[in-house]
Amino acid sequence: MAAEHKLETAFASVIPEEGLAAFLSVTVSDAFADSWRLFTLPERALYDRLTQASKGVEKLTLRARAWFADRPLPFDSYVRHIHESIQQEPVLDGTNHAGQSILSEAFKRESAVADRWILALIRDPSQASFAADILRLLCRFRPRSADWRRTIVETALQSPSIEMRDAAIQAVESWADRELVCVLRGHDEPDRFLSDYAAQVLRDLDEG
Amino acid sequence: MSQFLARGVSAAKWKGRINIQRHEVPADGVGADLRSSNNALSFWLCDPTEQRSLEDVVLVLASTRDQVQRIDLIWLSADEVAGMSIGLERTLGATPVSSLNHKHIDLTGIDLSRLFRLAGSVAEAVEGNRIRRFTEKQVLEILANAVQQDLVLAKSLKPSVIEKIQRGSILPA
Repeated sequence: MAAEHKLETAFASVIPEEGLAAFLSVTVSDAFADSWRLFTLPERALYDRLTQASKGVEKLTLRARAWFADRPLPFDSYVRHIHESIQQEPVLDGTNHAGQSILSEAFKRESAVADRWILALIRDPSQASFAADILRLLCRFRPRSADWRRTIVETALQSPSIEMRDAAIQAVESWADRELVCVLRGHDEPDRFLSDYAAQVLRDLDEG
Repeated sequence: MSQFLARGVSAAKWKGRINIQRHEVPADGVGADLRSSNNALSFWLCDPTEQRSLEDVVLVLASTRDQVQRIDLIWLSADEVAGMSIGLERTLGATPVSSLNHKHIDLTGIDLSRLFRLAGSVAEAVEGNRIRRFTEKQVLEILANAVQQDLVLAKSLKPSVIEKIQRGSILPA
């Protein structure tokens, strides 16, 4: 609790350098790791405040950055950040989106949890639109293994949501795995617009 | 012959229709694709009967994007839009494709009631046959051809777009 108190004191400080110094004295404490979990500020917000407070103290800032780089956000924080980013800005094809880097980081740091979360999201019909946005963001990098990508596409193609199936076909188009071509070829798409799209994607991928 | 006005949309957001009826206008589509600035929306003049004309619109849109991805185009009749008391103002487009920037047109003076009517027309275009989807590969080819023909300078495109064109071996690295 002493460490937690010191941390609070650090950020309540009106003198940035002093606040930072207090923070860093806490980070070297063995007790810090345990008390950290009790601290209520999300780590990202804390990081922002830290870097803001440490302007002009380059050496200490680098040390602080290194410290944060080793510590993942709790997965719920990633989910919250992704939700917020999509609420603030729609996911538009061809346009960078803040959710990309959050999702990428979530996969990098909490891959097993991210795997389960995304699969559950895609299976939840009440979240079809949000899940489709997530899948469209995933199309922009190449997450996990080919087997995992296949499971994601197969599951999304079975969705009753046209948005979700659309995102699934886009995933095949972007990831361009040979196994996914077979999955798409076996898909019987009821919507005319999407079936035309799927057929064109298959032609594109066949042509290499 | 009537002129047509094209704009990029996210077809799935208009087709999704979660908790609304077929004839109703999806707010998800409006929120994603009809976000105005200065009460105006950007469109491009086109002739949808000409493949090249639609590809020109794809080119101007793709040339300003961060990544090469599919593009959904819808088009509306200029007469239909003018009938909504929406202003049609020819303004120079701000894209790296200088030879096509003169085809840019702003729809101006869009208040909520005009936006509602415009959104209805976009929804009809998506549900009808006034929509065309260009796949990622098609967009890439249109961009690469334009670079080869000096319609657009490669250096004016976003780095990830240039990289993708080069990776596709369409341009020399």
